[in-house]
Amino acid sequence: MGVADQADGELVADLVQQVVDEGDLAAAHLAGDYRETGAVHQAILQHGKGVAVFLAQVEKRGVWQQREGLFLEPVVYLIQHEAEVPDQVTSGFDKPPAVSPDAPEFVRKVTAEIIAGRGDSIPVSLMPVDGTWPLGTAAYEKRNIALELPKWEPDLCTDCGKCPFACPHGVIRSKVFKVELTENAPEAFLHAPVKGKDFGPEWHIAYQVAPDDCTGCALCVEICPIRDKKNPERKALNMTPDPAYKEQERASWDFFLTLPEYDRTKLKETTLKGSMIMQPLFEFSGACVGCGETPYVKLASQLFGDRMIVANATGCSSIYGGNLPTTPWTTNPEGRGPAWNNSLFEDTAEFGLGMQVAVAKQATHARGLVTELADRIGGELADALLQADQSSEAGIFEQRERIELLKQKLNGIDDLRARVLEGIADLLARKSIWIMGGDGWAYDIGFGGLDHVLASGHDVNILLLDTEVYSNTGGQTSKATPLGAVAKFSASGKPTFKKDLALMAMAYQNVYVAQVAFGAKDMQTLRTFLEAESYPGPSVIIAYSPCIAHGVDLSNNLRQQELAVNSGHWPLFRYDPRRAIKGEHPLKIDSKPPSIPFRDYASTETRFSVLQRTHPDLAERYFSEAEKHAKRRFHLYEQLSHLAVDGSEEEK
Amino acid sequence: MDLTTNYLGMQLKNPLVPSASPLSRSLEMARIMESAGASALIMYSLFEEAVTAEEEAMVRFLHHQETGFGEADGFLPDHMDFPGELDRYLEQVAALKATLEIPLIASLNGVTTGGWIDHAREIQDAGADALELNVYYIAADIDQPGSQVEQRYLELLKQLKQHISIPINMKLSSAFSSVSNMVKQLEEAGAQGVSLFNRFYQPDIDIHNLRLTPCLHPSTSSEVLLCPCAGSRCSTDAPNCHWAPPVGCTRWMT
Repeated sequence: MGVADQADGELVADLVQQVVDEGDLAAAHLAGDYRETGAVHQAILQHGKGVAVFLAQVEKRGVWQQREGLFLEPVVYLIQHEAEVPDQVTSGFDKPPAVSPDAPEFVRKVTAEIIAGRGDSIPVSLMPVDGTWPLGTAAYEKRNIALELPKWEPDLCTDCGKCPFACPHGVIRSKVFKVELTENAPEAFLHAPVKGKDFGPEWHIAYQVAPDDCTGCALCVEICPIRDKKNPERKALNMTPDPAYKEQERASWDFFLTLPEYDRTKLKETTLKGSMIMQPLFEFSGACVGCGETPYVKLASQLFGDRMIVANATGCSSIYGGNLPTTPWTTNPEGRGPAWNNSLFEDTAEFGLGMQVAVAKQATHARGLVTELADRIGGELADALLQADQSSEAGIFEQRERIELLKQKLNGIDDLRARVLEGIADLLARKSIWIMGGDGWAYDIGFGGLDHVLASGHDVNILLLDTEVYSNTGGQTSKATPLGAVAKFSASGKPTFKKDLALMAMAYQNVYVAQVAFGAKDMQTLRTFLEAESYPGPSVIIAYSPCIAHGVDLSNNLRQQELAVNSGHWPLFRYDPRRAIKGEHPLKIDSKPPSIPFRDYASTETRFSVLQRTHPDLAERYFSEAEKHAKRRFHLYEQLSHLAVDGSEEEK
Repeated sequence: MDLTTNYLGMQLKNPLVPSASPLSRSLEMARIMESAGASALIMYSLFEEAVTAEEEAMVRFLHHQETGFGEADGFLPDHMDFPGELDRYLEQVAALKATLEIPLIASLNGVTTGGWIDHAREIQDAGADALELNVYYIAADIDQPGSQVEQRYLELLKQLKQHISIPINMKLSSAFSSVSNMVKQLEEAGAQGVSLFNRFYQPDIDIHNLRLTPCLHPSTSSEVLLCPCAGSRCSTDAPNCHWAPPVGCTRWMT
């Protein structure tokens, strides 16, 4: 230690003594100025760990200015009131088991052991031999992290279905059932006659929360449009911190699970209310509280889950979708559910295309065999199988019934072709191929493949969860990052515009393209998913997904989506090539022209607002350019939506 | 015509002083106002809660990003040192002082004693000639009498007087308790002046959706009629005139 250091050391020691003895904040500030010198280490030696904690805090803050008193006060308090740590455990709280004792054997012996951090001790003999892991295991991983739970008020509720739609973790459910089934329900279980004319008077509905799976994000309360006229504070859903309520809801949830699922062939999937009665086959994922991506994934699983095959790019969706030991992808009571697989960033679209080609090839082969064996199967059944209309849930259900009948008939046919057909008969029912991933995949690393798949014309559905950064790896810039947003590799704001992937996809003219933001317009999102899936060619849905990487509290998730749409940053539209064939405009704009300044949106997110602090001049330039760009882009789309379909003249 | 006047102990060439507004964010605009004859300039307000909110947001989203996840220890690049809301205000105080000949009055909207005193001292050090204070305290407690609210203002002023030496102007609502008595009390507590809001930004209530709707309607010229005594109705000395200032009161401004 040099002479200067020694002098510093004494000074810092004195200052620290003042902090410890008197809680003197000014002294704490001064001490911080010496944090780069050896003096702080000296002070730690003299004053023990209280000072170490204090200095660690100082170091972490980085910025050292007077206003940091805000943070120093509690630290100084801690130094002065050092907590005593008892020699032995004094808590009477018992740690609950990793999974319920009622869980299946595999979950108890393997999944639970990994959850408990004892994975290394599992004998290899217990591991699945072919690497296939059971589905629906996230349901056993009860995190119990919510401090508040939503509480349903049936007297106010209009059964609109918005709350299950917005829930990122699939924890608030609606189910319709015959009231007679509630005879043995727990006393606290709430249910009410379904409003509207779609169901008879004997049918009741319940909105039920899974109390140990809820994260307490409150988006369901946020989206609830109903308020009590006598007490505007009270909505049809309200967050409640009561521990007794949590306990009571455990019993209600268990009972809710025993109620049968409503017949999905009778539900109106084009309404929020109807589609939200469908069982989510993606539930309780480990995504962040308030995640902006998962509501889209869950929606797809509700609408198409029983026939979905998913190719998932690496990224957040592959992590919350299938990080061992549990998976949120699950099956319905008939045992049907999405088949899910994760692939690399650079080949996911091709991976999904391969699945589509395989499914289509097998279906063609099956149809050929049905034709060849028509006489022995029975001409009527063969015709019905080959000409089935599977455009509706009811149509798909009937085809599955026919396939069961076919399998019975095949059983009695002594022909090698019958054996082959038995193996692929299920492919006669329509499958729904989904390629999912984030913007890092679709705009950047997997873009070549995405473009290849769009150009292929094959019937795949692409769900692009656009967080505008590489979220899973910590917020690196992608080509989806907007102008002026600060991200890693764009520390002084991204200097170029976000790539307009939708416009590029529309250029193919045979691709269904849509931009959605469920928090801004949920019905448009629902309609888009149904249209995209029914389109017999490539479809791409670009879904705005607020993310913690934006530097905003995700309890504002829905507000951020509204601001993005209202500022013109995220116009909503659907480009459906089928409309062009009918002589209509293929492009329909679903949002209004920008109605608020881009700045009003940008200032609510730290990724933009920090630039105003670090680079005010750049921020000014980027934000005014972004505002002009939003208007120009909207205008361009509007013009495109007015072009005459046959190109002969421009319509008004 | 001699329009010189005395405001907050400062000699002004005329009584036209642009009040706190975003116009003072631009040096160019400040110069234009000075050339147009403004005799002093009141800066846009520094809001203590804005300073605190910014600090909290920066801490939460920049300095404290630990996610507990091995692959990402943060989501935004951590700029270690950049000027905050307060720093930028102080820079603007200094820049305006360097640009203008006329006196510069800073404006501070505080909530806590800590914020008032710390920020006021820094504003004084940055070169402001005077300080305008806005205690926008919303008295919504049914058990709190008006005298306590008044006391709150007086206490803040007294504490502040101990820490800064530049003149202090208190900014009040035109309907604040008994305005003339309050002005007297503020004067005794050391205020060099009092100014009044013509009105506040007030959110509307959407009775159909049962929500508060923020709205911004700029002032109109008819509001210039606002009487300083609208709240106090100083009719004792001038029974037929509701617009006359109380006798002996020469510091009213709207």
